[in-house]
Amino acid sequence: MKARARAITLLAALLGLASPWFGIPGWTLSVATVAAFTALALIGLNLVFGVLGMLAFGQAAFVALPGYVAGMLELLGAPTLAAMLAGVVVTVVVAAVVARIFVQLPGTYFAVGTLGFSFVIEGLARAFPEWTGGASGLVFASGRDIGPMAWYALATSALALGLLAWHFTVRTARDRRFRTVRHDELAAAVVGIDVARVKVGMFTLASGFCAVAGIGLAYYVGVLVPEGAGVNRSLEYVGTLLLGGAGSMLGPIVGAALVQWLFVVAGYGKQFELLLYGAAFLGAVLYARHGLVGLAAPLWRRAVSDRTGHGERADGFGRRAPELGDPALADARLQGLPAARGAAGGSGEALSVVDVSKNFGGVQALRSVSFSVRYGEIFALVGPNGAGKSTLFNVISGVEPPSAGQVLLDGERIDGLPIHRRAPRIGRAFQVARLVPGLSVLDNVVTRLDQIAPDMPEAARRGAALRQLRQFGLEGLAADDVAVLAAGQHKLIDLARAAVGSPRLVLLDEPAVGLTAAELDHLRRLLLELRDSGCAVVVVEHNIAFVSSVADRGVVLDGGALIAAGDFSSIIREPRVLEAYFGVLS
Amino acid sequence: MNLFTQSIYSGLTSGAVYALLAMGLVIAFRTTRVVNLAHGESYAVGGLSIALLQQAGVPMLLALVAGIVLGMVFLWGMDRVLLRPRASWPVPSLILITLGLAFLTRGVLLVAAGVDPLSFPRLVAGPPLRWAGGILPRQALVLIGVSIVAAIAVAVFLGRTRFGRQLRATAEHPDAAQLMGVNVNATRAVAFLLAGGLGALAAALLVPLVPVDFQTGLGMTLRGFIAAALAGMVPGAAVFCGFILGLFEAFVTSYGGALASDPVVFVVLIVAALWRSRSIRFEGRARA
Amino acid sequence: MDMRRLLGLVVGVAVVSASGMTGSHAADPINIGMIAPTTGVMATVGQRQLATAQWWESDVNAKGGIKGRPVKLIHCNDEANPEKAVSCVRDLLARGSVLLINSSVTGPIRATMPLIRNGPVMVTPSPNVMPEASSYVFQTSPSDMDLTRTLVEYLHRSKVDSIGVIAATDASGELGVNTVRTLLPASAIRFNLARIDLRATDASIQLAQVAKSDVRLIYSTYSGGGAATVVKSFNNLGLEQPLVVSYANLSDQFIALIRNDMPQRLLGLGLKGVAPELLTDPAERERVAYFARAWQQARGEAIDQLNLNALTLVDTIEAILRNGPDTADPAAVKAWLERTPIRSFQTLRFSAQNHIGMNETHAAILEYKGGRWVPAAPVQ
Repeated sequence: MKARARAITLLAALLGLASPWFGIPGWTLSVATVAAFTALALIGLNLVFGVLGMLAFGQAAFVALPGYVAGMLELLGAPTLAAMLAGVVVTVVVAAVVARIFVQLPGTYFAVGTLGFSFVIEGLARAFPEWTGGASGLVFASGRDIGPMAWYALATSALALGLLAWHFTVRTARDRRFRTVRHDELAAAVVGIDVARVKVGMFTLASGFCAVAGIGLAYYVGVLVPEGAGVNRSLEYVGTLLLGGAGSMLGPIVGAALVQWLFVVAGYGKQFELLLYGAAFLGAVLYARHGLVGLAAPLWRRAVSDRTGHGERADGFGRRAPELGDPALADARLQGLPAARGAAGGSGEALSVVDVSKNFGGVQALRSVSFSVRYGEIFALVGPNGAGKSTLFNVISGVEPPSAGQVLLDGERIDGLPIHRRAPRIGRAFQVARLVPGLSVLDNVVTRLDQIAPDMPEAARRGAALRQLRQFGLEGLAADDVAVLAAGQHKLIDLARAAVGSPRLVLLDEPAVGLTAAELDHLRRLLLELRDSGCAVVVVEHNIAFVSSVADRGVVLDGGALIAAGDFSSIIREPRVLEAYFGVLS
Repeated sequence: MNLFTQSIYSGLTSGAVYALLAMGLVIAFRTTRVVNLAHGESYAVGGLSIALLQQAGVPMLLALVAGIVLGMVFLWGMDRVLLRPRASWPVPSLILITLGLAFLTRGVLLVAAGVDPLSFPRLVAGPPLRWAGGILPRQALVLIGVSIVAAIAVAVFLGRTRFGRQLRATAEHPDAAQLMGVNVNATRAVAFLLAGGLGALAAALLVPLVPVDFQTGLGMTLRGFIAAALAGMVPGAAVFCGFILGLFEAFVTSYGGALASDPVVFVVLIVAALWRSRSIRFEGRARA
Repeated sequence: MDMRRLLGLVVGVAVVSASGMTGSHAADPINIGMIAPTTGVMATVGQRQLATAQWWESDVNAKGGIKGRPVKLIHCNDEANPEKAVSCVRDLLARGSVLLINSSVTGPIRATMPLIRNGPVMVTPSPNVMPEASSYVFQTSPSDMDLTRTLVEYLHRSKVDSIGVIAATDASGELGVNTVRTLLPASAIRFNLARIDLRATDASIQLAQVAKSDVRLIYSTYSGGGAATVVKSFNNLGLEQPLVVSYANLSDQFIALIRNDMPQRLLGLGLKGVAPELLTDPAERERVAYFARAWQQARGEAIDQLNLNALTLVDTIEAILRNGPDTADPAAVKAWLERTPIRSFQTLRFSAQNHIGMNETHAAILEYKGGRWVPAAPVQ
């Protein structure tokens, strides 16, 4: 089983290593060396672009910067190795700072911001010729003495280490986290992931790969020019990665080798080079989302699967088919969670909303709304369209800060906390389930536990998630990719994710929308079970019939203000409520 | 020659082009939420095709019209063929598509027009105007004038017509707009036709003064984007910011040197992007 | 279980690799590696020189080759990019080039120089390259300093004491700036200097900076197609001074780029061979005439500065191959070049102290008039 895959992998690696001696025209030792270093830089790009989906359009800057730093230090008399090390360190520090600034930018601005950074580094390299060699380039003399074989060995070893580091970085639990961030930042924050920190960390780490590769390239090629930091080079890297396969382990190697080789071979094709490159880039974006590696994946699967049919899933992350956990393992551990203690008590005031107001420009979406929710009850938030329910929900879960007022949980103010820090105590399900396709149902649920119970071993986390799924009657789906399931199932899975790890408060946004009658019954049972476990449940719901059948108490909002509060079955009969509802509906 | 005056003239000339580009970029952005990285290619496509047609002996006026139409068709076709059928894709993937198209266009233009910069004769002949120690070619004066008129026309179009209101509705919420009876596809088509037309118009007016080559497009996209970002993606402000950017660039070049221009302009871009993005989180998904 | 098969394959791979390594045997043709940017901003410089070298290759081979062996020119396009130029040299050496021609521009040429610290000999026509006499690099043009001396001599003759200088922000521009800063003040000529980005498309601000009212001539040190931008902006601003363009821009391709924007007087800083009437030696005139005829026959066009640059390169290569020592011994080739004058359309002289083949006596200020370059009359 695995031995076969390992043998084939090892063989492919050896063949790749020996390829410069096969006599392939244009694929010489020096081209292969440059390709190996480039692949290492692309692994870095792959971490931010492929794994987290950040549009890093300025990565060439982090490839050129270490070389410039090292070269300038050498001119000042620093020994070569110290200069190299300093180059890498400075680059990583700069990247950490840049990441902290840029990570606040939404996708588009992040793309253009990094592009701009690339322009700035290129421009600076050009503007100070007395230090950087200007447009003539900074010439490195010291690297040429170790000989082509040694360089090749160095480049391929660095690449091998880079692959190992990649493997370590995207291993199981982190892979789940990264996929969630990549797919949906809000969902990621709601399950407790500090999105900004993940992005900053990844960007900084990625720059380390680029920096090591950049040092290698600078000393091996022997000259560094401003264009090497520039926008065109950065975009070239993105194109190369896309061609090889963004997000996959081998994408950088396949892309770098192919493009470097094509540069040599097609370099003689003169003006068609750019055309082919553009067509390949666009083709990859449109039709081969996982590049050449993605196209080759079915072949690979066939090659490694032996007669028993157990193959490793070659989705590029090297993840195996999901293993189900053992619920028994989880039981003891989960009791130790901080969130669980309050829920176990199941009495007293859970959530208090005190005089909360929210303005958007001139529009007042909420006008000093106050109410409180107790443990062990289902609390409904109803009101006509535009009443401010969603805004209120967003304020409680942390998506929007209130303009005035306080939100307290267990008597402790939470309105200043970022979303991900509320996650251990607050579970939230969405109107349209925000699950991560490509991950199994179990993995989607485990993602929340990864964050709120990081000390639990992986197997125990899986066990706890499985127990939650069993409770929800979803155990049979645990191993399925959520992408193949129906919308109704998505909603229940989303709910299971919100409820896993015993949060004190569960927020549900229109849970009944889109469910069949049978699913509604199921949902009702689940909500009651959740309540009986001592949890406080807040539901925003339009389906008054459904919500009447579960809610204990509730409030009615209209025009951003509370118009009724109390026992749910009585408040919805109040004339003001009927008027607000039917006045709008008629 | 007076450097200060000359900087103003040069700045207004390039600013007029950035204004036209920024305006088109914003209009297309407002209907699709996609920053079109192939936007500047409409400038290159328009400029190079006019030059090639003129060289091939096509009458100047016909060449101009054909170039502008090509620019319009180029962006409209991009939306129709590449973006619209993939409207459900995430925004970053759509941005990559536009980048891919920009690369491909560059390759096509290189094969079609060669590496050397091309140009064509001016529409307005005569010696340049000399005012206050600066020199302004007549063509540049026309360019600045046309850009201002186009800006006003587009502003009226967006503010006073049904299409303008539909465009804003589409930008706010495409699904809701569709429910309200707005033909979203038609709105997109008009937006991209307009964007491509403005880009090619800029080329038609500037290329006689400043030659265009196959790789001019990306630089134009970036300049247009800076102006648009400074303007917070508002069409009217984009025009103003385009002129500001042109002047700023000219003065940096005059008093800081050509080498300072790129770093300074892009540092400004980054600061502007940060400043503008403070309110935008989760790519506008905050309403969830 | 798979290990035995795996081992077998690994051994197989090793054998294949080893056989690949030992597969080189002497090929019949003489391989000459040539680096020339045929795409990118310097394509106007590279394409013409490559075409000239290719003409030479077929000319020599049609006459039976050299010592019975055909010459084989291997071209590598470096796109005027130093990184690519370095790969080019590695590649050309790996493919068995015994001599190298480098027709690229300053930055890339300099970047390749450390790669041939132990030979083989590389010839280049860039005036901006001043090779160490200990190196294997030989430069076949006058140096930038020599060319600027020619300009100074013309300025003195025209009694011009104030000029404007436009230099690129690239490597050639950096050198040009150093040269004018050294030479012009020493020659009592005042100058205003402005620099322009090679990728820029407008030079009006730079021209406004240097074209003050007392400035009677503008000199653009900028080479390659990008200099068309300077000429265009010069015309946009309606400037009336003579405009001097530099060395590599005395080409037909460049003239084609600027044909709609001709300044009132377009001057050029070039070799005397471009205007053969300036050559005094009849043998030298004959060499230019022969080449001009052959080029006209082969390509149907007149020769220009870039043809002549390439001609000095291939004449040097041919001289080494015909009369010099075996190229297997680069040190001997180097020593031979240092003591042997090369007869081209103008004679090149290298020495053990100086690897620059020409000087200011080989150059002149020319003017583009009636479709050709002629000796320039002084500034009025």
